[in-house]
Amino acid sequence: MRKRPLRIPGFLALVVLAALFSLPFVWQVSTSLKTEDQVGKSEMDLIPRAQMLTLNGSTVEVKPIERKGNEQVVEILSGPQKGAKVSVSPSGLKLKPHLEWSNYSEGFKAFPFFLMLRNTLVICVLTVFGTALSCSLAAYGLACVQWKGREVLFWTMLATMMLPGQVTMIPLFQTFKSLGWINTILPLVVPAFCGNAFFIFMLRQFYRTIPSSLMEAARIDGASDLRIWATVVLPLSKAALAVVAVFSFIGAWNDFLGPLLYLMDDDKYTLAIGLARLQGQYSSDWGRMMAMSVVMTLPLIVLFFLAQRTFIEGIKIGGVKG
Amino acid sequence: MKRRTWTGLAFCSPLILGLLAFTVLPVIASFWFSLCNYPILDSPRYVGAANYVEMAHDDRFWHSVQNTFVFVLASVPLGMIVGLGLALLMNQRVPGIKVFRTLFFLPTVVPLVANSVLWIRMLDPESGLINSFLRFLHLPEGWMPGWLSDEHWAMPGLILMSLWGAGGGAILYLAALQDVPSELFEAAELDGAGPVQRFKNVTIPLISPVLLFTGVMGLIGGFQEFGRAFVMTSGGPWDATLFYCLHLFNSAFTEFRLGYASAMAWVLFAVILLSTIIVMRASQKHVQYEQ
Amino acid sequence: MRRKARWAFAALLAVLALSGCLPKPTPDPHVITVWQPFDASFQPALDHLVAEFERTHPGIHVKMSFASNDLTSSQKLFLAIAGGVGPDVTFVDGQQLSEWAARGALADLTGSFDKSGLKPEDFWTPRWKESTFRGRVYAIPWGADPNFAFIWNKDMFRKAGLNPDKPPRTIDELDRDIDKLTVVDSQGFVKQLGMNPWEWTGANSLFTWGYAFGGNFYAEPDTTHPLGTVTADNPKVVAALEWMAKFGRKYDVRKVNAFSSQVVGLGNNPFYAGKSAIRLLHVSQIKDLKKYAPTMDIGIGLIPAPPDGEYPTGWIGGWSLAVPRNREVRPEAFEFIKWVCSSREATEIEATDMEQFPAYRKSQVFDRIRQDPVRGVFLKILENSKHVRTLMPVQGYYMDQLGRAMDEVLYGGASAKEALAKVRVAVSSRLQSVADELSHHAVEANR
Repeated sequence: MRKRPLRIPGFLALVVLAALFSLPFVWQVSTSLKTEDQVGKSEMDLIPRAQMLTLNGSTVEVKPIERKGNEQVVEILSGPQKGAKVSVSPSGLKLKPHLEWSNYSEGFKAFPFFLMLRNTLVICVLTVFGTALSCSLAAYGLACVQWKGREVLFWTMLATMMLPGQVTMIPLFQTFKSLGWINTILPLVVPAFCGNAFFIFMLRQFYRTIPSSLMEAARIDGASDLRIWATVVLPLSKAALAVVAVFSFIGAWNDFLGPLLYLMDDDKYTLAIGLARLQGQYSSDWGRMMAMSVVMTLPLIVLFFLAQRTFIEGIKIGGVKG
Repeated sequence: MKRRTWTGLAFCSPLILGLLAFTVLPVIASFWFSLCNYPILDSPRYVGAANYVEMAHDDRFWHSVQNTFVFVLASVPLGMIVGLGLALLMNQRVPGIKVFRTLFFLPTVVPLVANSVLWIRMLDPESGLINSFLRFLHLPEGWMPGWLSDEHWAMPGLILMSLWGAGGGAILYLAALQDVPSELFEAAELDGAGPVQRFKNVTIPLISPVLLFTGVMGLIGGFQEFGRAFVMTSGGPWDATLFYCLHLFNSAFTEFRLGYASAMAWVLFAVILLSTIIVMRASQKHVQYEQ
Repeated sequence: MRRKARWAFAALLAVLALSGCLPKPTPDPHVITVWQPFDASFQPALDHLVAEFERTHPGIHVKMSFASNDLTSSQKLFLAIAGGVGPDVTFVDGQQLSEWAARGALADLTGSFDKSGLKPEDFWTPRWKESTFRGRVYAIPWGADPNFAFIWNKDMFRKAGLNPDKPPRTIDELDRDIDKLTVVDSQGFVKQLGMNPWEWTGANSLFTWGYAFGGNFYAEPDTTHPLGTVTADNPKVVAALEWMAKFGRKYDVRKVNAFSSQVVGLGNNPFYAGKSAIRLLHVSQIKDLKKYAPTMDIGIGLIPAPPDGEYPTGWIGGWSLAVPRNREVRPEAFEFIKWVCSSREATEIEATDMEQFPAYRKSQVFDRIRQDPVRGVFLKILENSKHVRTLMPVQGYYMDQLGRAMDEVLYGGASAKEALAKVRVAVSSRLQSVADELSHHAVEANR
């Protein structure tokens, strides 16, 4: 690996931009830890706060319940008088930093989280496996094998991405219906085993950078195409394959419309649907929604963090060539 | 030659099977719909080219075409430049680089709803982060963009927001940069090439296949832009963010005119196909596959 | 070779996993499937509803599941109906009914209704009208949302020197109060707003003020207009939109929208943040007052109207229950609909667990609601509401066009009269084509 001196301006740019790019997530986390009455405030306050009241010389945490004319009714949440409701003057309330964890505990109760997690994971794992397998095979066929018709196939595949899905939705649904696949996960995972134009195109671009001399050498040694794919191409494109795995996992994990259209029972639904149901028609429980949104984002962050080892160690064609 | 054809077909067989099973029929059906009056819940009835003719007279159609072209022309190149910049930054060997990479990737995994709410606040003309920054640069108050509540600034606002997702493309560039052999840089350095020349003559050609890929995908995705406007602006203010696919979606599912929507879809298809062919042809000379 | 074997093994596993998920059809004559569109907060109430029904109807089981369904996201129901795999019973938003009925998406419930002992006058009239199309019954109304109540922040009234117990009664008074309650800084940014008249997105604000001004959006069907007439540029609707436009010019529509979105972006409202003094409240938001503004002193009353307008005014929204076409109307399914919409137990759950108003006007819950200082106001509005949004089989298009006309006028692109006349022409022609399709079907059917 190349060693370059640490450059200060580059590092600074990295820090500033990273702060900007992580804002959505940081803000999401901060909102998930706010109390209900603080969520709607217009100031973009990243520090969660709660109402506090000084009572008999000590400061206690309170929850405002209701306003009655000039008096404010609050429920005391900490200290010896916990649970008591008292009327105070609104000016006596002060905001202090405070983390409200109940959004998380309530959020987990709002829908059958673990059942949905299991449903989601089954779909995700099958999708990732199917996508990685079928796309790398097809990309090999399109990039590394010279054959008549491969340009036609490539363009046909590319063209399928150019027609907006809204207009093929109904006939596609009919197709799955005639196969008897409605209300099963098959419409969500079987197509993954048949390749995905986006990933095939991507892998094709990577495969085409692999020196053909490497493949020729293997062929002369008597290796079959399947063997060349498995022993030359796959190891050399680990980085790209990791990208395919991560991206397709994220896609399946966050997919809302697919499961909604093809599954018909509440107990088959996925997390994305559970999350969407936290948003109401007229008002939403934002604290809870952000909490569950953080819970849904975390596994993706961990996955990405772990997978990037592959992006880096991915391998060096230079080394092979060397 | 014959054997190679079979080999190619064999490797692509899942793909071909998938196209035949799940794509061909719906695609043909949608073309048939485009020639029909099809109120979704009722059966389609053939009306010839009426839907295509109507498009020519639909003011909002033309307006959405214009909006979408502006978005594509701005967001695709900008997205690639920002993505490439991020990738170069992420390719540095500095402490904690893994954490930095993860942070840049964050906006692509945060659910759209959370992202939208944040951006509505970031773009607030008075207290939003963006205008606060412009004020910090001492720009006159009269120049402050009204972003999402101003019909002239809503589109630039969404374009700016789209750049937030550049981390996704950056990861692809990074994966490609990782494959760039260091000897090439060292050789260039010995030849006395400065950083700019090294970037132009070594880095760019080497990652050109991935650049082509993100460009074409950006084009296809950009023309079909939908989610941000659907969630954040519903096409407003005053149709300023009425994207082609939003108009198409409304036609299909709020106006019950799947026939018209299908005709729109096929026109879009032709436009995207044409642009893709142009991009692929134009880039042929510049994309370097084997090193 | 080991690698290849590993792949093969993995593929085998995948196939096994897939075959495990194959459908196991178990049609059960005693089970009815129901689709509901509600958010997670309603789940306990829905479970309660199902349990109560199953308790009182031994032998019938209800399988209820979620299917999002509103003007912009009903694809699931569309596909299911088109594909013939819809449920036995589904909730349908009242505003979609005439459109869906006209398209033949819903089963005709007239026969079952006539035998059921229910009567049209058992329901709030506008909701009942919405459930029928050309004399046939296509749904039974379940909820009735009276739109809207007028609420104000008493502290802000006090600070502005207004009497917190005397809300505006006329539009002139409203204008005057808004003026006193609004604070604009030297840059023209709105710091505090009296009220945003177009706060309810799209056409909903125009319906509200149009009706308050005494206008109407459609005329009932007659012999020459079998599907009714579009009256978008009725002078009183024009007056309502002109009033909004005047407000927009005074405070700058861009600044007002910027101010509102700043907080609305969170699904919340500047009202809760104490930055906007007045808002129009939806019945399902009563609980939000305690949640998001527990420290606020709030008054509640009726929407102001001009002297020649409608006071009290209101239009009713709400969900109904229907049967998708391709499904025979099973007696158990209709029994479920009838029970949910009119029984003592079900309306009790609707009012208590879900905090909704039943469309069944004879429900015992209204005696209690009448005593409630907040919900009582909503009941008064409900009792005086004469309208729904519109009763047109081109509802979606109409709403979209009205919303766009509002933007055009507010942003200074056209006068209210021009823009609304354009809407009338466009929607009328769309309505005509629906009428043509319907007569085309009638001819086909007679052949």
